[in-house]
Amino acid sequence: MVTSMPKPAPTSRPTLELSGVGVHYGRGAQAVPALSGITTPAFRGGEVVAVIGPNGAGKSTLFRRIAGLLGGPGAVRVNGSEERPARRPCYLPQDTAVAAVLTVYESVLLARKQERRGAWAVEDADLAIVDAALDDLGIEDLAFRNLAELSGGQRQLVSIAQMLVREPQILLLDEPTSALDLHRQIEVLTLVRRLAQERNICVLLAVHDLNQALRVADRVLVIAGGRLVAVGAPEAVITPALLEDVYGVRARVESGGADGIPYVIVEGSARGAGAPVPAGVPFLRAAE
Amino acid sequence: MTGAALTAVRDPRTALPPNSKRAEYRALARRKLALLAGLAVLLVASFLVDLMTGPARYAVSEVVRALAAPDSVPAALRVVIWEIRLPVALMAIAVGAALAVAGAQMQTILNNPLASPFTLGISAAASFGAALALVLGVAIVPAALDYMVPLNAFLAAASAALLIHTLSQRRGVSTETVVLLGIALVFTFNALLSLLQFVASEQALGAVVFWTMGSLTKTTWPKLAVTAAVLAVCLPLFMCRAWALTALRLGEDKAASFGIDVRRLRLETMLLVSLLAAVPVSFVGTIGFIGLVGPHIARMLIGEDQRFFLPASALAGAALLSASSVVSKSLIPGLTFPISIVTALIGVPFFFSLILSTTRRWRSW
Repeated sequence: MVTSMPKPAPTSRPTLELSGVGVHYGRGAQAVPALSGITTPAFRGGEVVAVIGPNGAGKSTLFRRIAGLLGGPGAVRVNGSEERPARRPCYLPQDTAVAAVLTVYESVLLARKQERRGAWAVEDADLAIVDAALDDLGIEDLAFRNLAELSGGQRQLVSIAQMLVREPQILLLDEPTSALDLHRQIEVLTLVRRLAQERNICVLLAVHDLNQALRVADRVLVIAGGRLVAVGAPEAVITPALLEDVYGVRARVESGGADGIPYVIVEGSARGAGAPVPAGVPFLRAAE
Repeated sequence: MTGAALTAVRDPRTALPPNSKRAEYRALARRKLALLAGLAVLLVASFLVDLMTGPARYAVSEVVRALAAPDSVPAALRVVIWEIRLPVALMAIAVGAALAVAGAQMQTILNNPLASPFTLGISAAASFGAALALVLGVAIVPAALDYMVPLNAFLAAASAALLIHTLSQRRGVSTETVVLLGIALVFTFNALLSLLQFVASEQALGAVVFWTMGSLTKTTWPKLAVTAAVLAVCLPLFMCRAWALTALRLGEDKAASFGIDVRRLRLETMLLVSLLAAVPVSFVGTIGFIGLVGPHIARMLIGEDQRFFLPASALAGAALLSASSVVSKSLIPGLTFPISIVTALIGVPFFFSLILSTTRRWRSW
């Protein structure tokens, strides 16, 4: 399992810090800010930060900005420096269908070789890392299946494997579990949590499911309308007041289930009976 | 030798458990190399048959001797092989490879299986440029008479390719739109070509029709050298970007997240593709189908790891055109058919049988 993968050389704990980060779409007078003034404390290696917010809040935009795919005002500091880091943050985009005639194994190897700006030759060390990543995610049986044949959930697991082989210091996962069944969701998030700790990775995780955020995250970052709403410990941030503000739902936060982790019960829309349920609340349960 | 003996001599440091995925990957890579070698053998065979075929038929041994030791064979054989057949046979290989690689990379960067120099209007533009010279005697830039037609064709084809590229760079233009634009270009240039044919003299009309059918028979060593040089420049440049180009097929977002400058990669690729598509067309006329089918055959045989896919496309395209050259000379003795008729007629059934017989595994488009 995880221990089979060679540990990266011990480095200083990676950090990620945002200060006044924004993104504008369009140019000049018509520029529309998609994201503005996001300032956070430093996130550290080993930490999982859940990024939550309604659809269109700017979660993906924030990730793309941190990964350096979008420019904009403000500073993204990796390991205390604004300069483009040697190992850029690994961004896993939301799942899309792929028509490439490539096997799973080849696509994961590709991620490894591209990260290393590799020559054509494939070293045994590269293959060992690919083997380990597939093994970690329990998809070694899919190794020689074609990407186009995979289900959405299998594709997500392959995508995560593609991130792992790049040995990231900072990992940005954009809804990595959206196509997985409940069991696999928990499995994958537990794995992410463990990898973060074992390999000293700073993980930012966009999720819709607040209970997942409570379960897996050390800190929660809430954005809505392109602005930072709150950042802090999950129990401190995810409160009924915040859920009403951000999602427009009435909800209770119960302090501690069987395993002591708080959980959210959504009771209905806060915008009056019959009002449309805001998108982005997956585990909506009507109050009885 | 028994299996146990084989295992015994294996270096323990590199020995792999028999069911390891690593070993399976190595086997897959070896299989792909073997397929490449097989394609190369086919190509060499077709090349030799191409040299043997013509009004005078020669045996393999004669051809090989004429190639290896030109001074040891009769003058007639030497002249036929070296002056007449060799440039044409090599041109078939160079043009086939160039068109197939151009098609492969168009399909890669536009993420569309229909992309090829022919379907995106680059060949149609070349025909129009050539017709301008043949019918009206108009040279887009002044050139020696001998090179007026190819130069016109090249400039028209390159402009079409750049137009496609410029449009594809605009915000909000999807790759589907680009393919539609290409098809619109095909119709536009075909209409302009018809217009020129309508006003052309009978003699010029004949020349235009012959040119648009595509023919290798007017190959000269300098034309071959230019085509081969373009191929020799473009192929290594693509091969250097093999991982990045493969990653592009995982989706633009993911390629970008791998640290690839997608816009720049697309631009560079499109420029090289314009060159690869325009140069052969300007020398030999429009040859359809190779640019579309060559890469599809390669993809079905070998997948899209560009380290294997690119050479496979080049070999498949070259072998197809070389085989077409043989057929174009053999249908009616003494008569050489325009090669683009043959590429379509032998290519289509072959392609159909390939598509219908392969398993779903290699048919994901």
